[in-house]
Amino acid sequence: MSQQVEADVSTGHYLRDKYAIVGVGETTYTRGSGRTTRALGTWAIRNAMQDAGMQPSDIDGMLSYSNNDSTPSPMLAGDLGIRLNFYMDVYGGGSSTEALIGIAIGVIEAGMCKTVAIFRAMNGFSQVRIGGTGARAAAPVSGDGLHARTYGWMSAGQSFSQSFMRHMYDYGTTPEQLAMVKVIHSEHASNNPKAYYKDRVSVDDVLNSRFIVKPLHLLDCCVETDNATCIIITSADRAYDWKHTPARILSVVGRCCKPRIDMHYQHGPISTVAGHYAKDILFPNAGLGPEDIDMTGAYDAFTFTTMLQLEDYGFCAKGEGGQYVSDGTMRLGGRRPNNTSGGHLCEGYTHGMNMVIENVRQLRGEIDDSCPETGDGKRTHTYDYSTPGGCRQAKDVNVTANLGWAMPGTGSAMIMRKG
Amino acid sequence: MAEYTKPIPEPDPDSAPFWEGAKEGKLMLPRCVKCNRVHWYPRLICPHCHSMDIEWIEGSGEGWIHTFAVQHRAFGGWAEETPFVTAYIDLKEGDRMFTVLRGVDPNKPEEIKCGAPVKVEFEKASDDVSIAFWRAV
Repeated sequence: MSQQVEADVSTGHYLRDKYAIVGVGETTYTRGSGRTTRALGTWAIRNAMQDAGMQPSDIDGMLSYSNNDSTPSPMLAGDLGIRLNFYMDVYGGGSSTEALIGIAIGVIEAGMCKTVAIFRAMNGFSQVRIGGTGARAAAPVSGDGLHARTYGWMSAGQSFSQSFMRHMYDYGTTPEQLAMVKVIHSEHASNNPKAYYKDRVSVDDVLNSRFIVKPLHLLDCCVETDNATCIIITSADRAYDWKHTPARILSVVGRCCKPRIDMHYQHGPISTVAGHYAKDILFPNAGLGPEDIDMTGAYDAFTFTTMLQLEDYGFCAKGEGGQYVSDGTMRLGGRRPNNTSGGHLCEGYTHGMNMVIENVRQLRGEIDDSCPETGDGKRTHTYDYSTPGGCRQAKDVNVTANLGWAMPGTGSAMIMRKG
Repeated sequence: MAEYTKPIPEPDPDSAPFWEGAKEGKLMLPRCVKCNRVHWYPRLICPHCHSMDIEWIEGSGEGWIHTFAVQHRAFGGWAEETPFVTAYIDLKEGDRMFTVLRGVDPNKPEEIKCGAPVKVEFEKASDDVSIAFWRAV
C-alpha cells in the first residue's frame, strides 16, 4: 500500500461571504525600529482600529502568530485598553495570516467573540533574523536539525533552493524569468511610499547580485525588516458599521499541506507545492476559479515562491510559471497584478500580512500611493504606473487571491471580494 | 584527525541504530517487516502501513542525485566550507535523504546532473557520531 493516500479535501461546509476585513494598519517598515515588538504591535493595532473607526470596546478578540519573536496578545490588549473575550497566540511564520483569518471566522461563528484583531509584530532585522545568527544558531542540533543543520542548513533559502533547482531542471525555468518577479515588484514598490526598497531594479541587477544559495541571488531573496501589521475581522452583518467598504471573504485555506510534511521532499514531484492541494479548497468554496481573480498576492519570500504558487494554484499550466511571471501579467496595468505593494521582496517582511492589507486597500479602491489627495482622505488615482512615485491603484479590482507560503509543503490562501 | 567544527547531531532512541552503523561505515536503514518498505528518517511507526515491527537493514549505499543547490552563505563551521553543494539523494532502497554532496565542483554547477549516481561515505565527527555524506561517482 502507498502511504500517499489522497485526502478528501472537500469541506462540505463553508462560510462564503459571511465575514469581512474591516480594518487594516501597519507601522513603518524599517531596519532598526528602536522599539519593542510590544510597542510595534500596539501601534499597528491602533492604526487598524483608526482605519476602521473603532474604539477599544469594538474589539473583543485577538490572534497573533510568531516564531517566539513577538509579544503575546494579552499584553497588547492591556496596553490598548481592550477587554478580550477571546485570544490565542500561535506558533508560525509564513502562511499564518490566512490561517488565522480562518480561525477568527471560526471563533466568531462559535459565538466566542464578535470582532478579532490579528497582528504580527516582529523585529525581523534588529532582533530575531531568519538565518543562522543569534539564538537560533546556539540551539543544540536535534530533531529536524539532525537532517538540516548537520549539513549546513539554517535558513529558509538554503532549504527551499533544492526544490527551486528541480523546477528549473524539469521545466527549463530560467534565472531571467525569475528575476522578473523582483523587477515587477520593485516597480510596484517604487509607487509605494511605505516600501523599504523603493528603487526599481533590472533583470541584470538581479542576475549580477551575488549568489546566496544557487539558484537564489541576493535580489531573489526578500528583505528582513522591523514592523508590525494588523487586520480586523468581523461578521458581514457588522461589516458596514465602519469607515471603509469591507473586503468580503469568499474562502480561506489554512496551512494546507503536501503529503509527508515531515520532509516534504520525500513526496515527488518536489517542485509541486502545497497550493496544488490548497486550490481544491480555495476555489470551490469561493465558487470561483483562477480566471475570476483580478489580483494576486503570491507570497514572495523568494522570487521562486511567487512563481511556484501561481503555477500550482492554476493561474497557468504546470511548468509555465516562468513564462507567467515574466510576460507582464503580474504588472500593474497587466491582466492580473501581483503584490502591488512590492511585497516581501521590496515593501517589507511581515510573514504575509502586508500582502493581505494591500489587497484589502486595492478592493476599497483606496491605495495609499502618491496620487493627489482630495481632502477627505481619498485620492484621485491617475492609473499611470510608468514612473516611480506614480499611481499604485489597479483599475476594476473586484476579486483578489492571497497565496501564503510557509515552505514548499505548506501554504494558506484566501479569496476576497469588494464588499 | 582534524577537529570536526561543524554541527554534530545528537542521536536519539529512534535513530540510534543508524548512528551505530555509521560508526562502522554502514548505511543502516529502517525497513518495515510487514510491508517491506524502507522509510527515511527513522521513526517508531512505519509511515506506510502503521506497523510497529521495524527492522534495520544495511543499505546498498547507492543512490542518485534528485536535485541540488549551491550554498554560498552558511553559518558556524559550514561557513568555512562555502561554496558547497547540498542535495536530495534518491536512495536505491526508496525515499530520499538530504546531504552535502562531495566529488562535485560547486563552481561548475552546470556539470552536476540530476539523476547522476552517488555513493555514501562517512566522516567521523566525534567518538560517537559519524556523518553520512554522498559522493558523485
